[in-house]
Amino acid sequence: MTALIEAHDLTRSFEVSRGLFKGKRTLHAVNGISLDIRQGEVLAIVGESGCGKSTLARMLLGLLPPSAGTITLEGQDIRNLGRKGMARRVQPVFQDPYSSLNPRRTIASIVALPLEVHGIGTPSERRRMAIEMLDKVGLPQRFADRYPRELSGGQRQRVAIARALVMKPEVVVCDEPTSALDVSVQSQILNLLMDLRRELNLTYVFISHNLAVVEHIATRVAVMYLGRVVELAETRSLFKEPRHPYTKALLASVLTPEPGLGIPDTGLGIAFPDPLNPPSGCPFHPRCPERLPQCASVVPQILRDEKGTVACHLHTRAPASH
Amino acid sequence: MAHSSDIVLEVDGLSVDIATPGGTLHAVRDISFSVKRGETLCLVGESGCGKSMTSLAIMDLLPKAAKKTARRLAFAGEDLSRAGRSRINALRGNRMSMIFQEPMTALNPAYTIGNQLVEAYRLHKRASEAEARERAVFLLGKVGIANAAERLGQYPHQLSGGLRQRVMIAMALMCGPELLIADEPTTALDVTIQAQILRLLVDLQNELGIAMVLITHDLGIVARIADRVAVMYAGQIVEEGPTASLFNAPRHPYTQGLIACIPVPGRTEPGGRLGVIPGVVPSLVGEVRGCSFRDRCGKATPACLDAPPVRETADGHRWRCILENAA
Repeated sequence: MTALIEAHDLTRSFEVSRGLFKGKRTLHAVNGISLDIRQGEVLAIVGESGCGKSTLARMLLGLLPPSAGTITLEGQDIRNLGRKGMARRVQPVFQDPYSSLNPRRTIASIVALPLEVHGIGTPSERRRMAIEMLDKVGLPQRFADRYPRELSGGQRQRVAIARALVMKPEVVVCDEPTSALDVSVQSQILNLLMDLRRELNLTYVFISHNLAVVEHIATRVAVMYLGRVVELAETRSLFKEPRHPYTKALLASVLTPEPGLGIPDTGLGIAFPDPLNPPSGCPFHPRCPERLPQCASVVPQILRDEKGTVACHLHTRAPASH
Repeated sequence: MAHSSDIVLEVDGLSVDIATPGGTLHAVRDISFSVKRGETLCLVGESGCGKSMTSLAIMDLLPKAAKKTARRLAFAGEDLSRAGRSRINALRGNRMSMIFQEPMTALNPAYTIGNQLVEAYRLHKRASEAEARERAVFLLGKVGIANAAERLGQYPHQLSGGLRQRVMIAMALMCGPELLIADEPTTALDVTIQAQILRLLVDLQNELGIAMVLITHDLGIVARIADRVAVMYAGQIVEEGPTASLFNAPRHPYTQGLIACIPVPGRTEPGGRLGVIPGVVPSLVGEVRGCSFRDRCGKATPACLDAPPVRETADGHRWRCILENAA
């Protein structure tokens, strides 16, 4: 598979005010991430709140410029494509289908808006394209002239997907697309995303904290912790043989509906670090059950091999010396 | 059989009606269950099924527009549906307490953690400030909060979401409750934190012999934590039973559908189709007749227009369906 999008050494920091008489501090939301998104894959980005996964998503969409590093789309720097040029090829679907749809517009005009912005077609052609796309996502024509408030959460998320797809993008960045939905609705949306991917030959970046959903939908997984990708691998290999201790803990935390297993002990300790004041060395070391002496002071190098990447002192190219 | 004095909470024929401009919304419809000392009952269901209204009705915290009726709503043998306001106030936050989903809505931002933990204890137990603070420090330690004495002087906004949730658990345990109602206690938390908080809750519950009603939409949590499960749909309990029996041999088509919807690593085929429940929940405004799931059920027959019978197996697994076994 060829790389469609390549992110090289991406960094994004924010100045955060700490209060009236205190100075500002720098939050490194994304800290030196390099990854590629391959044609036709479903790349999941997983991690807990504050790990930087949504910041990464916004940069990949061209909605937020990186502080340093570059993103290319088929070899072209996205800064040269402009926001409109990006929007034709990379489209978002956000988590909250309640706040991401304009309440004053009808469903058909919400879906047609990207076409209008890009000056594609006449008003009647745009409406026809919107209705076609609504039909593809499972909303019959009778929904076209309704308003978002008349729709359920699952129906609204279908509208958001139709709006993303009406521009015929190559890549869709889905940021927690089913987190706000009930489980019976979640399964419908996941099935729909999988069908559309096959039918329209789409590439997905799928951001989620739900490992069970990720295992189901993704082909590759990048695990983020405090602004860095700590492990990246094919889904099957990551779930079978996780290498980073944080990945292991995340997988152990998945509560599958299997009675009798009880609540797992992740061995992580209870202190979640302050992203404004990240730990030295490996950012995961204070919580890591397998930490080594050097973890507190030395940032681990990223090991790239046939399985993917991992940033951990337990996994270095040279055999450990004793 | 458990001795009847072991029953901490007994709910018999509870209904909650809400007046809306369009008519009366029957949010909870004639539900019955009981919870014993040391037992965990999970109420599981999707948005609007009535699970949160049930918990608010038990704690007498329903909004003004909602009206509850019950044949019996008994706590430790005492019928609360006949108890006055002062009696409820004496029990609530004392012998029965509640953990909410969003700690910021339950903690008062204008008071320190210490003030909030100490207040209810002093009120209910007539304890001194020093005794109350000592208990607060003890419980904060129990819920895994380091340097608890320092934390007492902090305000809710100075704590992370995970810490606030643990403060709420400590607060709910201050007076040594016999009944704890936890409404989606970990939904707002990250997965690794969620596992730790749930472990903590289970350990404390076992240690103190608390009867717990845990309300959640997450079948994973239910399978791992519940002794018994009640599945709610459209304001009714459609199936109830021991956890293993309910997950291994679900009887009601809705429960079966719900379990088929969730991807399970190692069990569902990656990229394959997940189960779906077609259609939407029926409106509960006005008169609701027959089986409320029939419009979405693949096995519905004209007989479903009448109220379905309640079926029961020897191990106390009950469900409302015309079918003995829908599988």
